[in-house]
Amino acid sequence: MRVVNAVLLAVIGIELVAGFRSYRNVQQQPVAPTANTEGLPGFTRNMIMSSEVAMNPKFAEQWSGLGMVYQAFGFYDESVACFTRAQEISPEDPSIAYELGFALILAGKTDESSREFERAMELGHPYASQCWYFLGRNALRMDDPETAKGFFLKATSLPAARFELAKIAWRAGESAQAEHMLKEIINEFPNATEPQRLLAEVFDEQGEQHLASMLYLSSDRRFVALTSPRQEIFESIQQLRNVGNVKFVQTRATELLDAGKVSDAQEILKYEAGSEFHPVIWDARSDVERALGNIEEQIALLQEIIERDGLDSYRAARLGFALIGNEQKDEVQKVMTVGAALESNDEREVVADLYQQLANLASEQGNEDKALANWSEAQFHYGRKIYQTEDPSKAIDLFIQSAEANPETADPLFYLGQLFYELGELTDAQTAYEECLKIDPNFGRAIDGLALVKAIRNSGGEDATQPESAED
Amino acid sequence: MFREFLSWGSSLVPEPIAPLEESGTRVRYGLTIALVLVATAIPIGWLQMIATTTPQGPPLEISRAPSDLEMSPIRFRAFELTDHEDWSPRVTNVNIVDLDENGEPELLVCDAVRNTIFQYQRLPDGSWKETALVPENTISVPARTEVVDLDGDNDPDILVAVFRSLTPTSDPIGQVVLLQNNGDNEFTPRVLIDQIRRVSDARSGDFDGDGDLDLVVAEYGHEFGRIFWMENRGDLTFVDRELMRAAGTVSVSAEDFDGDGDPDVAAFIPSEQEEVWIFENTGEAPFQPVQRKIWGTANFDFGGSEMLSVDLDEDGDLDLLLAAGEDSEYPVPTQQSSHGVYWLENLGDFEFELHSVGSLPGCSSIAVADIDNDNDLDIIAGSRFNNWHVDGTTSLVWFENDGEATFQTWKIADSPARLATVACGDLTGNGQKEIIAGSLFNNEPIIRPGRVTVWTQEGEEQE
Repeated sequence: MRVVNAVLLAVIGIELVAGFRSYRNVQQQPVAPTANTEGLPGFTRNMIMSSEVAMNPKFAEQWSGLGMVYQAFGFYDESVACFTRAQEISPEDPSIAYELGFALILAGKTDESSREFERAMELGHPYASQCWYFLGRNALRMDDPETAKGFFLKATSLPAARFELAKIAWRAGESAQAEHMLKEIINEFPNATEPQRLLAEVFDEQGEQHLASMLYLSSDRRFVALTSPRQEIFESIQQLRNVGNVKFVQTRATELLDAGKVSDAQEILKYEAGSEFHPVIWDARSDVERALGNIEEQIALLQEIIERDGLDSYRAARLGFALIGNEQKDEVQKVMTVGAALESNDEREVVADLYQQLANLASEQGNEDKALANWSEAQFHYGRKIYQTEDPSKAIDLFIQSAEANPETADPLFYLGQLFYELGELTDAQTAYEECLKIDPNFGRAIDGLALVKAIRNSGGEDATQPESAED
Repeated sequence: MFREFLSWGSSLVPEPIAPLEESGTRVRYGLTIALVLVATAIPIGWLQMIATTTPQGPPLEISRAPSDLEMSPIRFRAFELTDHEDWSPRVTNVNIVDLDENGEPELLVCDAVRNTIFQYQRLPDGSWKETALVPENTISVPARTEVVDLDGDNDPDILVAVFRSLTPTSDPIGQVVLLQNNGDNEFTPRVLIDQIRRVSDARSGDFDGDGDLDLVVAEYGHEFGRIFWMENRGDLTFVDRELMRAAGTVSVSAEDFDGDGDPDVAAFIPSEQEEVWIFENTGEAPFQPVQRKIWGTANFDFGGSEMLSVDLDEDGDLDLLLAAGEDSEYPVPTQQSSHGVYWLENLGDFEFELHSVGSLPGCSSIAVADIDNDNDLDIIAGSRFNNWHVDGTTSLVWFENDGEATFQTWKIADSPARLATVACGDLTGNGQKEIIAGSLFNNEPIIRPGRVTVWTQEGEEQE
């Protein structure tokens, strides 16, 4: 028993000494770097600062976590320093080497980055192909496609690496090889845009203009990225950025307003965003004022955004609809007309809504011609939105309605032509292009579209419009 | 040694109290249990202390790229052209022109906050008069201007490339607009083409040799884009004809690169492609140019941002200057070692050789002028994407030409930041060149703000 007690006492002693040393060691560790967050919105600054404090990094994973936060907000040197510190603490951790490798790319240190990806593999990183992929991209950064090719060949399990190999072959003048590789990728990922675009370039150079045009058109509507390791990392970066974005506060406030918790929404805007001007926060505050019934205040906030940061379609729509609530119809028409014409936002629905509202106003005023023209524009923009984001066939009716409501506009007819072409309905496509050109004989893309459709029909290739035809 | 330690340890354990053997055993067990508890509690305690303690060592060292640029020997004084107080100024282009053709230069400024083109005229008292050439919110995010008599009525019109949105999109929202001069320097906007993707550049030239001016357009877009030319059919009607499918073309140029008397087209296509193409005009009508890739790099991160055509070495043919530093690959732009200014020297027969002029992280804009009046062309460059949260990072430099087309880099300024566009010329008529730059704050941080800044020379620094 005495021996046991003695051993226990020895253990306690060792624990005390080792613990004290560890404690001292932690106390003497470097403190986290503080980023200069000047010029960022208050909410983002708070988020970054609270990460520094909350993480209070001492262990490798905490340093890595802070490194990620800095990386997401563009503090690349700080990010590298944090990952390097994590590596000092856990030198055998392959995932830290991998993360440091990526951080070094963003810091513009390509050579050092490559060394870290190599180290990650030496330490047994579970996804060696991703390391090879980044090594290949780094070799390209050094304008060394031959070395890059060697790396990508070790990562052929990744479609993105095979695509890079196809690009290298294409640039080296090996178009047959590039064509073969691209067709394989397209077979596997028929929706991905990039391989289709590159294959179109290959066809173009081979003098296969019809095949090239078909691929260009069929891949033109919507961009679908080929999956790649870098895209995966960007998505995680974006998630962190979203949490630190002022739009996050706006979304929270909107959710609270939707739940009828107006004072909570008001509180969160005050607490998170303070009194510092920011268009997104002012926009959210205007919603709170509306919910409180303070329409004048709501309008004043929206006007301040425009005064201090300019007008775009979205802001015109926001102010226009607020003015409707305040019965200022003349102003509504003025703001919405300018906003719709700016067409400055890629949210096409906003522009469509503006035209729809202008059509309603014109109709109320008895100006049916104007109402019809605006309604035509609204249908056109609703159609464009659906055309790009959903099943394109759903846009057919909208384009037809738009064209019928305003017989002087060629645009909906052009898109009808594109759409019918994509659906393989070449007779309808031809008719639409021809109708378009009757209105605007100088519509170059309609001229090209018509020539293409005619050429395909003459060659008897009614069903040759699908991208799979590239296999032939 | 260990045995000695054990015996020393056991001597510390108090002897059990007699007389009962049973109670002695109980005490010994109790002691052992207590020691076990203590031995367990200590690491937990330490861990808790370690977890809650704050490191108090020195701040973690951050390794930054060295900024060893020397300050310009020519001293400059900077001032803001106007007192606009936009929250995030968004000037996309500055252009020195002589719109009223009175021999005195004026400035055209593309403003993406006010969505118009401003003209600035210098008044005799040295102040500047601002005129919006079309009402505000008429032209959404104008990207670039070229002064040209497009309608052939002997007065200068303004060709405007219209970007329409600074948010990346492939939506067909772009336009090419002509501000048509009514002869009295009053302008009416006429849309020459719409339903195209965002337009970054548009230039004029008689490509088909039929005596009227056609256009070449960089349809920048985002994931998709094109380069096309617009055949002039008279009465300001045009037919668009595709030259190349390429997203992200930043600049086009309509100049005679082979000296055969007709305009060719040069285009700088970054966005993963990083190539410069020339569309050689063979002089035949209709315009069916021969495509020539004159330069390209496998470095997709090169960061091409602007191209200028200029005879830099003054050997009688047109060279190209490239700016690299615009990085749209990442959510927050990075600074890469390739960023800076490059000179593509025209060697004849569409052979071009690339030379590095000098580096500037985040370089986005370039201009050419003889800054030091030594009869050769120097280069001015602005940075839009430098590491702005680090004090002292450079926003404006000039590259001094030694007359042999080798260059020394001089720092001019670190503020304002985000110089998306620069121009250089003698605005005051005093024989010295002024530099004008516009800041584009389309995302945060909004740091070291400015809008349109003018740098005037204050002479050589005294030794």
